[in-house]
Amino acid sequence: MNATQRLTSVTLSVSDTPSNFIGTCRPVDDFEKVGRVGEGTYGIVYKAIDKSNQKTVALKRMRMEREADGLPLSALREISLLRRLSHTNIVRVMEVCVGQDLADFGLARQFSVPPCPMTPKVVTLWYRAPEILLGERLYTEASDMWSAGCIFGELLKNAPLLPGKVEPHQFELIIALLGNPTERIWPSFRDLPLANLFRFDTPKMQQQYSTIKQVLSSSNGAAAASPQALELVQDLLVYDPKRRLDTRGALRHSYFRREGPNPCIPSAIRLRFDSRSGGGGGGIFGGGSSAGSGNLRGGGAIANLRKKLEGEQQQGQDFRRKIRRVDRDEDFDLPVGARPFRQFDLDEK
Amino acid sequence: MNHVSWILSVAQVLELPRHSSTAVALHYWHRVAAFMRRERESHEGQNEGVKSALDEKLLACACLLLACKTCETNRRLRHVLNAAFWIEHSNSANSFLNTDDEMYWQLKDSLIAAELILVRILAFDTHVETPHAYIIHLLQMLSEPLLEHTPSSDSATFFLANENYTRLAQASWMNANDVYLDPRTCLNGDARVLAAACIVLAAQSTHLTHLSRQQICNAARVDEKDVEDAICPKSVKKFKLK
Repeated sequence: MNATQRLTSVTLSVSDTPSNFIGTCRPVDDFEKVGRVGEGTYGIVYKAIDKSNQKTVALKRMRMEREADGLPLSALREISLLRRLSHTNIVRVMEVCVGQDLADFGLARQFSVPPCPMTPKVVTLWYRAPEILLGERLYTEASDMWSAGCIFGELLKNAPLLPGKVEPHQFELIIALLGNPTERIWPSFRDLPLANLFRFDTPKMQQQYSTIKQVLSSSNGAAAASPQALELVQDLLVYDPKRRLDTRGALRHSYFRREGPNPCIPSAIRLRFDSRSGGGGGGIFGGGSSAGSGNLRGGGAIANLRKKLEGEQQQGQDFRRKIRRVDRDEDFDLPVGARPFRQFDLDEK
Repeated sequence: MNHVSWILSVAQVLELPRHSSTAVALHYWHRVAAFMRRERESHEGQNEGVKSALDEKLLACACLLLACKTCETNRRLRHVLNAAFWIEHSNSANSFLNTDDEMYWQLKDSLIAAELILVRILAFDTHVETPHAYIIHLLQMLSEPLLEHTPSSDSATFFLANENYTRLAQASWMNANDVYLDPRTCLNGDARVLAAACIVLAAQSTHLTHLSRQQICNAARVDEKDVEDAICPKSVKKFKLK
């Protein structure tokens, strides 16, 4: 006889429910863990084999804090949103399976992107818009545009643009990059709830001009950003959310129109490998020699991904072979889309 | 009191919106009921020991708690519990829970456990789309050709000025609420089909005959056959019960 837990209903009747109740979910024992991939925001991610069809999946063990109000909203949101999202570069939640302990469940996902090695605790802080830092509660999609600007800048710089450690530090970095916020460029920012927690009069906070051009012109071996790329970052990183570029404006930006290559569907993007620059991090996008028609600008992140696959990730072995083969071959085109990053697809062949 | 009206009463005490959390809680409940019915059928003929050990009222209560979370209409677990307890024991002398009482903590732990049981029955598929938003959108679309004859007015003022259309909007909305009273209507169609079905029925009941079924279905970009099925469901399709 299985263990049961005694539950009291609002009718005050008592029922004994089996502790291993799984409903319509699958038990986590259906998956065999074969390796540890990394740690996500809410728990550990494993590489696992689905015993029923031998497919490789990512299994995320979600930590369940025993909260006063039951299931945490953050976990529910994560599951529900990932279930609805469908994009080649975003992991797809296939199902949620259940462990033995009632307060523990796992997420089975299809792999597509190597997990991010940066500590997840601060990851949102780096991309957090100034109005949210100042406690704005009614923030809009403009805050996402700020994040987009940070990430675009990161791709150009080949390093995080604003890697703040704590909230005040984050603000210092923003000011060092963009200069002081003033009433003229951002009316009423001092009325935001947390504005009085930040001191804008310390020497560190005194920076009159934007240094964004200098920061993105030469750093970390990344090629200098083009004038239109700089302009796009600047238009996205605007203090006043009302004056910040919106999605519509960003899509119409001259960066996408005046400088080639033009936007296209992801599967049509082709990366040009330049074998002459060797196996270094800048190999894929390195400077002028390979600045051909099919080259992408600002490929720091892709180079990082490659470094990660070659070094840190045990799971990337199959993909590594592919890259070595590429290195032997001159001017090999590696199609980019979902495929190269979905290294576990190779297992199935 | 059956469980549907019980959930409605508790939702009313909690002042939950009828079009989101209340509807979603009922949706969850119908799926729980379908699951329990199926469990009973699979155990039929076996001895008493394997009889379902799940408490229906407790799960109905968990449906409300979970719907509050997934619809972002925050209610504390304590409030959900108090409201449910009050509805359940409104005829007795002790209809209020006291936090000094051992019973309160027992119930609270049970409800937390029941919520986990519920998400397992639902296979963590907690997102429910209600037809209400589509109805507003569709009514706006359907009124657009008529707006051309009444210059300088948007669809909102048009609806207010036209009694028939106000009645149509209200009837459609009420139909959408009623969708969740019956598992056959709420578990079968997707939100867009249900929205079209609600407007089709409302157009019939408010005698707006110039709004044809075809016109409504075209506006919603759904199949007329699907709408027909949503209006007269023959049986409950197995809702994601594997």
